[in-house]
Amino acid sequence: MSDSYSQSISPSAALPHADHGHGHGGHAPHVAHQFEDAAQQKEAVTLGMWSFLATEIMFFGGAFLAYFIYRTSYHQAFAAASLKENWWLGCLNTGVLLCSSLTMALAVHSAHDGKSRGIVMWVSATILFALIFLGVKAYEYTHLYHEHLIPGRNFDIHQEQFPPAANTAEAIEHAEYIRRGAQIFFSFYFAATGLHASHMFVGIGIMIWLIVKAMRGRFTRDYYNPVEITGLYWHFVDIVWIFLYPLLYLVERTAGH
Amino acid sequence: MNTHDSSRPSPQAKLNPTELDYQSHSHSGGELSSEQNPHATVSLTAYLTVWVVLMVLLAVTVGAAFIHMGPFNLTVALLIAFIKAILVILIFMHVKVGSRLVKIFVVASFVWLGIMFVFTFADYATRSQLPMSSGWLMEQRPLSSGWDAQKREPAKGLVKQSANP
Repeated sequence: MSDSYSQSISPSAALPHADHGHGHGGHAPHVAHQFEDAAQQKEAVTLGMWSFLATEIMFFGGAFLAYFIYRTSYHQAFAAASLKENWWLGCLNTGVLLCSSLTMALAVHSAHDGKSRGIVMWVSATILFALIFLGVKAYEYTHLYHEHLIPGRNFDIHQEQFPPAANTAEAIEHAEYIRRGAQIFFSFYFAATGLHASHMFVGIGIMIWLIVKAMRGRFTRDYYNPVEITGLYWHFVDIVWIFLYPLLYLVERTAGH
Repeated sequence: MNTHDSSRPSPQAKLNPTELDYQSHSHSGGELSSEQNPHATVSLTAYLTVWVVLMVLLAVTVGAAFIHMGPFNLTVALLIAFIKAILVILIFMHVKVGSRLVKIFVVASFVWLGIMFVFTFADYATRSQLPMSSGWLMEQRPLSSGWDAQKREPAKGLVKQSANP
């Protein structure tokens, strides 16, 4: 059992409880005390992570639910507001995140094969893609700020696509409706993408930790649970964006509608 | 790389309840209860194939958005998104080769999400139009008591825009 640490710098640095000898209860050193064996530990760790992801699904789910309710009530306003988003940048970002999911999966794959260098390489690539995504997001936020599209006092959605026929009460009311609905849309945009981005920052932090641990030989063919569940977290973040992109950027893009 | 479907328990595990699943006797895939195969993994080919499919579906999402389908634009967009999510969950997140319990956890998460959606939509869909709220289908009628009900000045788009703040 102790031969699984061929990649470790020193056994004590890699073991979860370094002060116990290898003859303790006959279990492998990388298996914590409460588990029968590595398989049970891995199953428990995986279920634990999925339990957390279930709470995250409900967390983002609540925001999505509210989005759908308001989208139905303010469809025209949502359509007008969504047109202000740069669909091409959003598409690029979606592609970037999909690539980051691939690199993360490849990192887990490397871990499965016991290749620490592969872990470091692929997790670094994932971080790189994540930073590209966040950079594009920062640019988008800045652009929206300059366009007066941050909800609040100075919100101003130019209504060239809905030119009021006259300064009638109805036209004013309609413009009010658009203004209100568009602010609701952008509230969702900033809240949902902000929440998503904060999850990405946390993910980047965890991945940096993973790289450090991998470089120190913490992960082996028989123990790479942290890499696996970080992968689960990251794929979840990707899935959230997979839904966010069409709902925020592609509400109504057909010309002549 | 092997792709194990470890969701089918071996007959031994079912007939012998005293033999706990968590006690491993060997690490060969057949003898160990297939619920707990720690070496099950997804192949490199599967990862790359799914990635290509995801990118293609992204292109389809964008393309479909520019085709006029009325209310079905949303349906198509969500359908494609769900397919992408399922691919990520099954392949990237290893749920396809995971134990049945993991699969149950995943499905349960979405069941709970579904409960929230179904009940909330049912609530809104069965409301009659109340005079003081915007209701479900009163798209053109703004809220009569909104946060900006006090200032009923015309929207900025209609009047000459004041100097940039």
